[in-house]
Amino acid sequence: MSFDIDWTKIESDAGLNESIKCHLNSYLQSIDLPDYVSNLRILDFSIGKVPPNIILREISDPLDDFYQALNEDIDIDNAKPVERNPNDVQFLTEIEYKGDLLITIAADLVLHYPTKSFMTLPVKLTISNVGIHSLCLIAYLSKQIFVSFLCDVSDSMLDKNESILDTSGSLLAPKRSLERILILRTMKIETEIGEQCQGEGSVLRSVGKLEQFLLENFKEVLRKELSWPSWINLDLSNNDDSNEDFAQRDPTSEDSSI
Amino acid sequence: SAENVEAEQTRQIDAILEKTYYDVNTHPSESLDWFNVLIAQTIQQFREEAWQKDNIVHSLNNFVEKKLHELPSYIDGAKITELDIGDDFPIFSNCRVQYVPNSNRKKLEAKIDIDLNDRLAIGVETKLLLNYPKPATAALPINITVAIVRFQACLTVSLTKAEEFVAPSSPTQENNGSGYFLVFSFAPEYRMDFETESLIGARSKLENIPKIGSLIEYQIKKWFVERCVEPRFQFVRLPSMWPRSKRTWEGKPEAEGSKTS
Repeated sequence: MSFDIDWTKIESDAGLNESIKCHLNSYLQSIDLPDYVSNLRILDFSIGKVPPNIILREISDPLDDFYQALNEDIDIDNAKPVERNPNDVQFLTEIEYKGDLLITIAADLVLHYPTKSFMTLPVKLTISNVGIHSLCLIAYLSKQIFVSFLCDVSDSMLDKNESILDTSGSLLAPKRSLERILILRTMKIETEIGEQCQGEGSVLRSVGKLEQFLLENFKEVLRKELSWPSWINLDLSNNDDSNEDFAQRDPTSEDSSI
Repeated sequence: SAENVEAEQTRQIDAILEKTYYDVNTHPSESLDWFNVLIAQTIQQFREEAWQKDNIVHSLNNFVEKKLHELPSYIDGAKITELDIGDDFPIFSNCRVQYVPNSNRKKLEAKIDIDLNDRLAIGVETKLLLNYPKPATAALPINITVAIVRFQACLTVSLTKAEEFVAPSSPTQENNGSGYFLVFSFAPEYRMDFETESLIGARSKLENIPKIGSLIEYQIKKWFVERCVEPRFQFVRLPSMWPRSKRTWEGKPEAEGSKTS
């Protein structure tokens, strides 16, 4: 690993777990649910005790795409286009995660057998054993951080004899098939439902469908939201600090960092 | 009137040139060899003092330690691991006096070429902190040695009174126009060559990344350009040279020890 990560600071942070839970919940509100499930919500989120392993593979200037994206967002009227600054920087990293992250989800399972909406069952699902081993771009420019997953480290695209960050190469091609991108290597979903229903085949079939639905949905989110040519954009420019750094400055850290 | 003042300034400059036998159009450039020797002596003395204090790296580290609280929060400490103050000397040459361009022959300046072939290096060991979501959540160890190995430039030197210039950073800066100032600046076409070595990461390390070198070179050149590259000038007040008794010294008597024995 390249980064020394002090995970004890994160695992003990109730506020962090709570804010991730809120983010995930607001995402769940936005998706269309199939007719056999309603009231999907995160009950608990725990980031776990095991940190990811992060290896720096390359440090370079950020890709043009990030500048283009920022300039497309700029209001033409008070436009001052974002230009390359020598302080801008981009890391190509290898992120390996096989930690003990745990998400508990509650849902109401709607049974349409023998009649439509015959019964509603509360269920509890736990997501665990999340495994990731991917190449990820992290760019800092114009007080913004961009994070984008490129591909799994075992992706056959990496076998081609071309530079990973070659914008004319296949890895960064703008229209590469999203289907090919695998971010989640493993993920386990377990379901708990009331004991009295264990013997019912049709209940279990609906639970299986729900598990499958969640799995596909998580993969889809990761592909659509986090994978090149998409990215997460964190805007740090509202911080009251004017330093051109690429680590977010926390005002409370003034003393503790020394 | 202003016109008369200007004419008087031009007349004074012309008189100085005539009485010092210097024709700015025909005078050949000078080598400045004598100046190089004196400068080299000064630098030599500085280096000796630096090495006599035994562990200059050690004392620098003490200094850095005292200044730690001034570092930005994303830097975790800093340790000087190497310091090379070089063993060569700058060579000044090709000195010529000319009218300051566009001054209407009212001002004079000396142009001097400078060339330095040496290794001036500093090595630093530090850590870059990620302060999100909590302070010092992750740290990236960094080892950098940056060396300036070549500096070539054209230096402009002149003497002036303060009213000719403004201080761009602090306009309130005290520059009461009395006395003379030595003004110097480098032409923008300077050459500054670096050799940067970097080692980044904890257990798996990246070595000598060009981007890291260019980041550091950019910062150093920015620092330099913002201070002493035209149109910015360095302004140094000259001390009074009038002979005074409190500055009077004399040589030690020779062989004093042998007389008493």
